[in-house]
Amino acid sequence: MEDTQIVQLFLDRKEAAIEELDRKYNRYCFQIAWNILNSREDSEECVNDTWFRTWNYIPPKKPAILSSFIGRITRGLAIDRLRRKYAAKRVDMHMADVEAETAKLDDLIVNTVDDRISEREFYEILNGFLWQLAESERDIFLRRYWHMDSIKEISARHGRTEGSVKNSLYRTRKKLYKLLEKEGVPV
Amino acid sequence: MRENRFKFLEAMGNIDDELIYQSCQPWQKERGSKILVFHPAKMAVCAMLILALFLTGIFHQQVEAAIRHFTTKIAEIMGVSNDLLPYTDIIGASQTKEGVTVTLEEVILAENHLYTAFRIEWEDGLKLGKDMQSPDVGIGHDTKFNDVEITTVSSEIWMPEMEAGSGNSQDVLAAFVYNDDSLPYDIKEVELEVQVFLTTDWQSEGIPFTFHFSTSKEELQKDTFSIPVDYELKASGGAVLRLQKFQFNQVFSQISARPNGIFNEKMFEKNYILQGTDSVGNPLRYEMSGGLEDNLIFKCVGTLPSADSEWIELQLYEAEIPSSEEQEIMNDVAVREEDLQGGTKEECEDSAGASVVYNVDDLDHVPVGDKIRIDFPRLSESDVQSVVAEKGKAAITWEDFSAYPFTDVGSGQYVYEYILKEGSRLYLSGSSLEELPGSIYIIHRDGTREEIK
Repeated sequence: MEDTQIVQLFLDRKEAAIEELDRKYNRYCFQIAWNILNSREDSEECVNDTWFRTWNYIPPKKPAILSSFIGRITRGLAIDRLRRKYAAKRVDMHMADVEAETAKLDDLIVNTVDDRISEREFYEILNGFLWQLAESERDIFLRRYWHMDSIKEISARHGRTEGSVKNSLYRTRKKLYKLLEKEGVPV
Repeated sequence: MRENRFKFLEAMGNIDDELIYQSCQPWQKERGSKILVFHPAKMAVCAMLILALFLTGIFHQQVEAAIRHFTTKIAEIMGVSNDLLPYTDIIGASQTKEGVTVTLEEVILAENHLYTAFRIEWEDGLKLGKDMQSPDVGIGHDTKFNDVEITTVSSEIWMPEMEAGSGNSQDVLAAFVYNDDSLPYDIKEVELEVQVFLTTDWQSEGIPFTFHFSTSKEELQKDTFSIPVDYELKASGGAVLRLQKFQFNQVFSQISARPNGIFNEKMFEKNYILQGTDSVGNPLRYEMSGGLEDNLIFKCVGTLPSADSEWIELQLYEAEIPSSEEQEIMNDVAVREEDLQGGTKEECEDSAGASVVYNVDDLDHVPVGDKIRIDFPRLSESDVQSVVAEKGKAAITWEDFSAYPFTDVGSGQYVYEYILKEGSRLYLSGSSLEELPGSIYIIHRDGTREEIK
């Protein structure tokens, strides 16, 4: 079923909306959750919660790109769940690596958004930065920090060595620091 | 607990929808004449046009170098004039679903490479997605060998332009590369899935066709040269590449190499290739095609070294990779009015620009470091007789011929096979490498066996 038809089912408050959403996007959302949580049970719960939230969001929201909309919900739920796992000291090595890579950016965001720049301005900077990257560098960055792919998976996707992928991520993070510094955000 | 944990990752959740959408697409990258990883199921007409232009260039180049008499479908699609029939398993298995017939025609398994040739045929009037001329094809990423999934390191697909009058059919060649030593030697069954897509909706399910077949790398393995080499190539800026193994047979040739840390970093800014000739004058070109950070693979593109060659000479070349501002590949492609098919030139360029990074052939490669020569050592029958005369039959060891390439064709016992210059084969066999070979003999070209021990 086309995305526009699925969205219309939500707008019409038809129960078939969840069914169709599940049929089309279950695997997609499960993969997003799995990459973060690495647990079947947790990932399935995230997917189910996504459908529930989507039902509550649409309407009034009417997403232009449904896959991005629900992918974002699943991802957010998975990160929340991951945070709780960390609090309970159930640490996953894969996410520990991702966390270590982005620790400086975590601190940066906490210290500056709302204090120095508004959230809206921050997203303008971040989106502008991502759009101006070379396509392969952008894809590598998003696969790592949006999809939480492993370095090995990204290496296979791009036909590059793992060292080259890590190098690309390091350089892109460094460019982002410099840009934020230039925009008045302390590093 | 670090309080700020995951703030950046959370923030990434709110980036533009279009960025997320693009990153969900299968990755398509064009380098030189190959297309790595299958093109995305959702593809605009304009992007298909651009791919067709590149593909036409590939096959024109390869066919020019080849004799137009092909023994197998795989050879035909690849433009390889070597006789591949001895190495090819002819499968000929067909399945029909929803008006589409997929036939797995041939398979070649060599070292860690699997080549498969398919033909896709479809009924007249089959409903295809908007602007599609033929169904799209996707090949399963992981293949099962003896019911065990083996991860593919890289895969490539060729879809040659079909001749006029070929009707509703399309040939497809898919090649898969696996990690060294990941494939079992004794392969009882291979399971491979093909998906056929009738729409350009990338999230739609394709029609799955699963094939089971058996194959063996034994025949091509016998004719595969595998030579350890130990050459250090120095590129600019302290980057060093140590060549480790050269492999070559009738179907492919590759060189594995270990880079130093600087080389790994430089790969982000530079493209490296190896170019040269073999002893009979064939031009050779090896391009990076994957591998892990301590084991790069350079694959031969175009003409393979000649089987009659006694050596190859190669030079390392490097080129700067263009910055994002310089990547204006698609501006150089002349899109004809009649090919726009309802789209605008700008739409075509935008669409193609989203798919193409840069063309390796357009980069300005300069030579770096010294030229190297890899000699193909060949044992002869008189060499064998000299060793026998010098040491005596009973004292010959596994190491006496170790300077020459061999293949272990044993399964259980060690059986070292050496291809001799005269076309005969020397065999050393035994149950342990720590003891002397128990049996040594030569099989001559006429099939007669000459016992040495």
